[in-house]
Amino acid sequence: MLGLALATPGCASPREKKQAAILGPTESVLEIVAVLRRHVPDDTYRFPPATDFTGRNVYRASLLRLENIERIHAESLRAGHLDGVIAFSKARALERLRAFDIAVEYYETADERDEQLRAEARASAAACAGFASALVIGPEPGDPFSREAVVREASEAQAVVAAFDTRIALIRDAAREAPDHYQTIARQEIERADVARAKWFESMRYALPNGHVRAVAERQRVINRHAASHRELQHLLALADLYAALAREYVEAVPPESLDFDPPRLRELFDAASQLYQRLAARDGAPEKLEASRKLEAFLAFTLQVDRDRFASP
Amino acid sequence: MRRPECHALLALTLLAGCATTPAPAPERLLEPLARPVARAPEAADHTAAALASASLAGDLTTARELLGQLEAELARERTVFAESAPRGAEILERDSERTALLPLAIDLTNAAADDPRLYRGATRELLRRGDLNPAHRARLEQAADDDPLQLANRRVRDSYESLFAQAFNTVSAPLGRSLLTGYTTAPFEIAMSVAHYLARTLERPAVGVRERQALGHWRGFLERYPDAPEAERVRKRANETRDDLDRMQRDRYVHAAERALEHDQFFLARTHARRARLHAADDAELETLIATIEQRAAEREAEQIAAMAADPDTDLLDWDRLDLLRAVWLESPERLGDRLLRELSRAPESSLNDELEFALATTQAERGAESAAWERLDAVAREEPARSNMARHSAVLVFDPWQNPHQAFERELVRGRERAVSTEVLGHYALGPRYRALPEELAYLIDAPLIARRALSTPIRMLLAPLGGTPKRDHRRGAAIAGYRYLDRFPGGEHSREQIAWLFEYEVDRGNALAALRLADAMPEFDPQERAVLAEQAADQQLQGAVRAGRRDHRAQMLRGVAIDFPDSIAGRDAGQLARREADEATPQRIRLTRGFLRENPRIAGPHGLAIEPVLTDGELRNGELHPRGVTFLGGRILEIALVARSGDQDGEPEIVRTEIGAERLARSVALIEESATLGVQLDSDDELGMDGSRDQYFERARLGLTDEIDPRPTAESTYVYQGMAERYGLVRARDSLLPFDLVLQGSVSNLGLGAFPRWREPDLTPDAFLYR
Repeated sequence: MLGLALATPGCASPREKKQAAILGPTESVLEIVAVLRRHVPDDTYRFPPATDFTGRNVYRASLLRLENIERIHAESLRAGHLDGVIAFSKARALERLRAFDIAVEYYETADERDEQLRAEARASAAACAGFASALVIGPEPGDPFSREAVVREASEAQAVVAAFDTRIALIRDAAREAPDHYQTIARQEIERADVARAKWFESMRYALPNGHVRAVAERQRVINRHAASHRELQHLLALADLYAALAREYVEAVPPESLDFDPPRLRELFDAASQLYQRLAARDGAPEKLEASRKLEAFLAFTLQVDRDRFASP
Repeated sequence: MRRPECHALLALTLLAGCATTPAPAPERLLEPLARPVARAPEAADHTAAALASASLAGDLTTARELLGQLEAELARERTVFAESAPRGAEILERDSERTALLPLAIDLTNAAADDPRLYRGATRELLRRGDLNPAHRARLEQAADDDPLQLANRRVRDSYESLFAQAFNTVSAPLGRSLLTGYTTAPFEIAMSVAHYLARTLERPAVGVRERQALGHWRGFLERYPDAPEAERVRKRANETRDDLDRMQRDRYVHAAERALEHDQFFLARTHARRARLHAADDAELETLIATIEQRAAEREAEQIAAMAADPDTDLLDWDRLDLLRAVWLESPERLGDRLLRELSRAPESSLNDELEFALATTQAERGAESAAWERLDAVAREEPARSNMARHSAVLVFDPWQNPHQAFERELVRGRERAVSTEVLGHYALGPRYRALPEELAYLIDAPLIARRALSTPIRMLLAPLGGTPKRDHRRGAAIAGYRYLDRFPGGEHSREQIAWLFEYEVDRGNALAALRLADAMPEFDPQERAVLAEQAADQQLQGAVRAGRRDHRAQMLRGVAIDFPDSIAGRDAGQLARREADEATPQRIRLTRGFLRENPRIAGPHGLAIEPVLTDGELRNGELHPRGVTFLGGRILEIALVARSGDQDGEPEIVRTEIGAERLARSVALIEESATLGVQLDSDDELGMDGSRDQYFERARLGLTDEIDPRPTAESTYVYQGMAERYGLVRARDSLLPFDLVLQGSVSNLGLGAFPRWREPDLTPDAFLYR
């Protein structure tokens, strides 16, 4: 009998289990906020953002769940006792998803509705507004399908550097007086600005004098400045890819069978790319390990196409 | 009973049976959307909200004060409601989830401490409470387990358990297998098993995947908490494991480099040696190996250069033959060929004859005398390189699979036959013994009994092979590639007809009707009736491929292709009809909720969600019933409801009703679907929620009421299906046994053995194990 009684909860159908786990409005909000609150101080610059039990980014999942709860318990939440909490939580999630302008709006709502959150909401709104205004400065190369892509001129190089310097200065300003976790967000945004700058120079390498050297230097700069970032391996991979692209472009432009082909030049590019790929391929636990090892194989296969007498070995 | 009465009774029974067929679906499939009953916040709700604010604002002191206040208010709430029955009793029943509030508030307060290690400790404490909501408990358990040190210890334990399991199975399996022989063969079986165990132990990497995972966790811990009290101990352990790993990787790459060097593969040897360098700085032995590789490569290069160099003392040019040299460039192949033949017959022992033979072969090839040309080159290739300048050049041409694809075809054919026979007889032993780390002789000795057993059972396996249905390896593939290459290079070549005939048989054998049809069209005498049959098969093959295509635009394009390429075939006609139907019925989305899913999550179909007419989900066919296929979101605000057809056949095709629903109904349903699916994952890891970006985007837009603007891109379509657990796993799900071992009953036709034994289960590798190999 005892055994049967003990077995009963385990035999509950999925329907019964779910029914027993459904929460009321206040409880649901508390559940989501507890998860989000735990991850607010996370250093998402040094470590990858956490995921929830479904495998989604925890900030995105929290935001979506809050929106779901607002729909499901719309009538009960109309009393307004959780308005400030919900708005503030959404803002905390949104700022980690880089939607700083929308986060400002939610912080303003929290400021209006919840006295306890007012000071924190104002400071956070100011920081997010600062980030939002900083991010519009400087080009953002990246989305190849963007309809608003602007054709850039090589003569703008100095202006681009100045724009990114301004952006970074504004980001630092925005984080200066802000709560602690904004230091992490600022470092992430500075990293993004540095990557955007490197990408700009990479996209302009045929237009600028010594453009290829500058592009490599910019990628190297990102690696040097952000060695502590969790994206360090991505930066290394980007540099390796750049060297590999240069090697391919050189072989296409100057066919190895032609008289102008310069084996040492290809060797330099090959060594740089393959050594970086090898370093990355030895890093356990990171997806970049797989990417680098496959790219290394592909790169070695590419060099096999080069005539043996022109490039017999690395 | 009289016969007419019997008939009447039978007719009544049948009519009664007919009465169970479903009535037409109700006019109104969806009820008006009900407003959820608002719950006025009690004092405890206000306190919980204040606590959440304090926690979000980082005010831990206030949060703790409010937690005490909340506990008191909840206790008071329970007493007041219990005393004011029956209203209080109703509320208590309605608010059974109220008990979850305090643990959630404690959790939220713990989170405000901003210290993951403290949080995990507090969570373990919280898990001791008995009033946790099941979903909350599941999440807390996961959070408490997410401790790098604990995870590292678990991986180390898994590694030890795996070693123990292998040792245990080494003894238990042979003992069990010798059951039939009354244990007379047990000593032999155990000796064999131990030999294999030892061989495996030698092959096992010094630092396995699990240890590497543990190292990853230790490193993560040290990065996050470098000043923790246990950091020094962890650092020491991590360093030891890292050193072992470096040694292992270094040895692995050095071994690979040495093997490459043995085969004169300098490029590969250098690559491996450089990788070894990443794991061993200032390694004298490795540097010696690299120096050897460089030296051997340089020697080989010097040899190659020397082979190409000419002896300056030799007068290469026979001035009498200058005219002939000129003719090589200027004469037509016919005239040059005749002249070369004359030259060869004039001086059969001349030292320049191999050059003349080579040139003659070239003229023969240019004139289409393919076989004669290759025979001549083959003869030159067989000359001693020391005596013939052209032997190496001829050999390169003869053995180049692109230059001489027909001979490559013949070679591959022979190789394929050999491989087929050896694989059939020896299985994977055809590629050598299993244990590559051992000396080859020893590895063969260990595998010898298994190889012999495998070879002896070949006739039985061949007899049973047709029943197995396992796809066979294609040993003719190499020959087929060479055959197609020949047709590409020499479409009108001497061997093209025989090559086409061989390839046709090959493609027919492997069921590739499309390729066979293309080859049949290159055979002038091919029977038209046989061609018609082949064309039908080819069209059907292409149609099946089109139906399998995931994206609707790809599918449409492929279906159109079948209809255009095979207009006279049945499959071509079907493809045309299917393409038309798909075009007519194409919808931007097809996100489906099965009936089983809706039954397991009644909130979704309930009055605050989709508000499906309750009679459609009551299990009664007579008043209309939802088909197992359930309901489907088609994009925009269109909902497709599948109903059991009038025939009452639940497995048959449903009756489809499409209806437009309001934005509020859609938004609420989507919120409930997501919350229910999330809850499912939280409560049961088997209740998986697949990732689908298009689905999530549609749901996001639905929540915001933005679905009127339809995204027509085929890539924006989601065909995600939400299924109930019973549909996925059946009524009874297979569960892992509580015992640490499985009881195995093993019989093998190939080994002619039967046995029963316990097999210790090795712990499963975690899903991220592939990143540690």
